[in-house]
Order: sequence, then C-alpha cells, then structure tokens
Amino acid sequence: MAVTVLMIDDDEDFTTSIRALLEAEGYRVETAASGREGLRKLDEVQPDVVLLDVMMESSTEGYAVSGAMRTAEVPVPVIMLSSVELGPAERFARSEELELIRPDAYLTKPVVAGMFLETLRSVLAARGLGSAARS
Amino acid sequence: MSEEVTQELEPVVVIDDDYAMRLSCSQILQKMGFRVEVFEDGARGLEGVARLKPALVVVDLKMPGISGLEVVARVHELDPEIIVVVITGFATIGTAVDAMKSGAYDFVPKPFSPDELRVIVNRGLERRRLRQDALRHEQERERLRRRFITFVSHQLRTPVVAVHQYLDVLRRLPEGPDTAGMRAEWLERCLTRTDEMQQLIRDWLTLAEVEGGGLTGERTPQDLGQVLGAAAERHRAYAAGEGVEVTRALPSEPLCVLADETALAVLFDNLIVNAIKYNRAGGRVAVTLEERDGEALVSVRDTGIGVPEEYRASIFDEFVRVKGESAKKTTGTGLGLPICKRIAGELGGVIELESELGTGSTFRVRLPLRAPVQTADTAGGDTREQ
Repeated sequence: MAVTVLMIDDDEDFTTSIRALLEAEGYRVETAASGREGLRKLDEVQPDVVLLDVMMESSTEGYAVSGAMRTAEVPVPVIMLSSVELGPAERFARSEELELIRPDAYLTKPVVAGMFLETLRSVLAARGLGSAARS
Repeated sequence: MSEEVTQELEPVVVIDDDYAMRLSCSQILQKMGFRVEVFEDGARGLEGVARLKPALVVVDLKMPGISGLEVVARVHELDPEIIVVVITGFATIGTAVDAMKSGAYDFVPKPFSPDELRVIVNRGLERRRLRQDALRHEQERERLRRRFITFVSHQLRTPVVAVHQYLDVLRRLPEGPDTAGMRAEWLERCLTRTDEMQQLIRDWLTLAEVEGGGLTGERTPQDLGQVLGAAAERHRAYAAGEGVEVTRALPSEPLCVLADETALAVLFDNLIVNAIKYNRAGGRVAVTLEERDGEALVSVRDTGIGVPEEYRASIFDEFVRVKGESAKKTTGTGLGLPICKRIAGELGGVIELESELGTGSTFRVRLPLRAPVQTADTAGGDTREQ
C-alpha cells in the first residue's frame, strides 16, 4: 500500500510541484489549502505523514495546526515547511508550548528535491513506517 | 469637508493647600488658555491627575499630608511625560533639586510674577510636544520598517519560492511525452509568478514615490472628465477580455482639480482595473463624475463580488487582499488601494468604500475643486500655480 502524504499549504503552485515530485517517487498525495481543511482531511484520509506550511493565512496558522494535532495526540509525524529561515525553536522562547509544536523535521522553502526526499524517508523510518511503495 | 471643530481646552492641575496660591495660579493658567482644576492636598491632587491626564501639574512643595515631593514622584510614575512644575516657598537649591530628581521639570520660587510662571510652563510644554513628536516619528519608522520586512520576506519571497520549486522539480523529472504536458503548464505558471513579482516591485516603487511626495509634486489644473475618459480608454481591451462593460457619466462642463497628471492616472487606473478584475463575466463598471458640496466626486462602481464586512476596515492597508472562494483566482499585490488612498490624501481629498457582498462595490474619491483653466496657452508656461 502506498504511503500517503497530506500537504497542508495554501500556495497552489508549491503543492503542484511537490505533488509531482512525490508521485514520481510512488507516494500518494492529498492536499489541503487551510489549517481547517487540513485538520478535516487528517481525519478523513489518515495519512502516514503531514507536510505543513507555517504561514498560510495568518502568520502562525501552521503552528496552530500542529499544536492541535499534538493536543489531540495524533500520532502522525509532521514535517514543517517555511520560507522563513528561523526554526520554531528560534521563534519562540522556551515554553511548554514548544513541546506541543515541535515538528519531526523543519525545512525551508524552496526545498532541495534530493534532501527533501531523504528527510521524508528518515522521518517515516523513525516512526517505523516504510517509505514509498516503489522498490 | 471642513467642519467646525471646537478646540477642547487642555487640562492642567494645580495642587496647593493655600487658597490664594490656587486662585492666582488658576487665573494665570486660564488666561493662557487651559482648563484648570485645583486640589487642596496631594491625595486629592493625585486622584485628579489620574482622572484628567493633564499635560501639566503645578504643585507646592510644602503641604501637609502627602508632601509635594512625593506628589512629584507619584505623578512621574503615573505618566513620565507630564510636565511638573513645583512651587518652592524658600528657594533652597536642595529642595528644588530633589524635586527635579523625582521628575519635576522645573521649579518656581515664591513670590513669582505671572510672567515667570508662564515662561516655565511654555518651555515645559514645548519640550513635551517635541518628545511626543519624536515618539510618533519613532513609531512610524518602526511601522515602515516592519512593512518593508513583510514585503521582502513574505510578499516577494512567496512567488520566488514557487518558481524555484517548479524549476528544481522539473530538472529532476525525466524528459519525455509523460512530462511534456506538465512542463508546458509549469512554464506558464513560472511566467505568471514572475509577472506577479514584477508587479509587486512596480507597485512598491509607486507607493514609495507617492509617500516621498514625488508622484504628486508637479501640480497643474486637470480636467477630471478628460482624465477619467482617458483612463477608461486605456482599459478598454482588458475590460473586453474579461467580458466587462465600462460606462461613464461625465458632466458637460469641465470639473478641474489641481493635481499631477500621472498621480491621477495611477489613482484611477487602480480603481478601474480593480473594478474590472473583481467583477463577474457580463458585469459592469460605472465611472461617474459630478460636483457635490463644492467638491469633485468620482465614483467607480462595479457589479462584482463585493468586499466582505471583515475586510472593509482594513481594505486600504498594505498587503490586505480579500481571500475566499470568489476572490481565489484574482492576482494582485495588495498595494493598489494603499496607493490610491495616499494619492487622494496628498491631493487634499479622501477615498471611501461602499460595498455589498454579492452585489458590488463603489469606490468614491472626493477632491477639492479648482477654477477651470482659461485657455491652452498656459501650458508649459513659466508661472506655475502652487
């Protein structure tokens, strides 16, 4: 069974190019254009991994989604994507909330295809999930 | 237009246990144009300060109960920008210095003439004004700095990232008939996104120019009817392509404003293009010009999607773009309306929005009128109207 990736990002162009990249590697891709739609699809689709954009509509919409996922104890790994250079640890002061929003990996956009695929593989491997169906 | 604004008198507080002193200070300050409230002790005085938020407090150092020195310190805690002048009974340097260390601006030793108090008060308030101006400038500079950072780090970066990602993935995918369709499509998208960047940069530079006073500098009498006619013509092809009809209702006699030709063109181009863009197929844009209450009133009305309630207050702010299903396909920089607002303001006018969701929007620009130009031989002359 193909590994399913859920992409939560409001930039259609970005999701189009990443979808092509992932599908070429044998992944199945679902997308959502807002935090709200993302949480809904999370339920419906039950993905193996989530790619989450930090900014979207408001400047921290992505963090709100991953925070919600942590609170609901959703076991799906999250890779956060952002065009801002700072990582969440640099953005927020040390706090309990930091535990809630720390993603499994944090990448800046644009992603370098090779490194991105490698990060995806290792995040899935760390959770005991196989990577793409294609051998 | 200009309405009668009653000048509200600025409040000042006088705290002195001596009735005669309260009275004489009161009279001096009232003659200077202030609204004076007097208090006979420190405790009541401090309550008064907290309530009135005055620019100035005159307080006697020697009082029973809470000492004048303590009042000075407490007022300074409440608001360090209040100018405190202390009245000293014996002009010992020590007392006055203590007062100033606690936050007083200056001291005046008894007995003092009205002029002596006046001079100190005026100096103190001038200093306060300068500090508040400096604070305002600092806040404005900070706002502009943050706006610039947002522009670069988000607005401009987003399309750059999208294009780069397309190219990066394209480089990796195998060539061939399978990917040919995708290549063609992505090529178009990259061009669209780079156009978006160009437009952003152009609008940003326009905004900078308007704010720098450059775009509205060369003011000459302009016939709004002609200006609007030319603007509508410029966008005829675009409107036709979108299936939108642009109509105009212009008066027969000229209605003139004193303005820079380019500034007016930018202002009305933005409004007309928006009205076409945020419209529906088969929709209409009505451009009207009339004289109303001694001003020129330009209305650009569209039969478009309208502006949702929650966006109306901020629609003239930078980078605000209406999001949502119906607005989804429209591209834009979010700088058009701030530019319009700025230009209108620089020309002594205002711009307003009236909108109904689902029905359409009307943008109204009011500009001060100017007597129409006599003949064509004033063009390019040496004498230029200010």
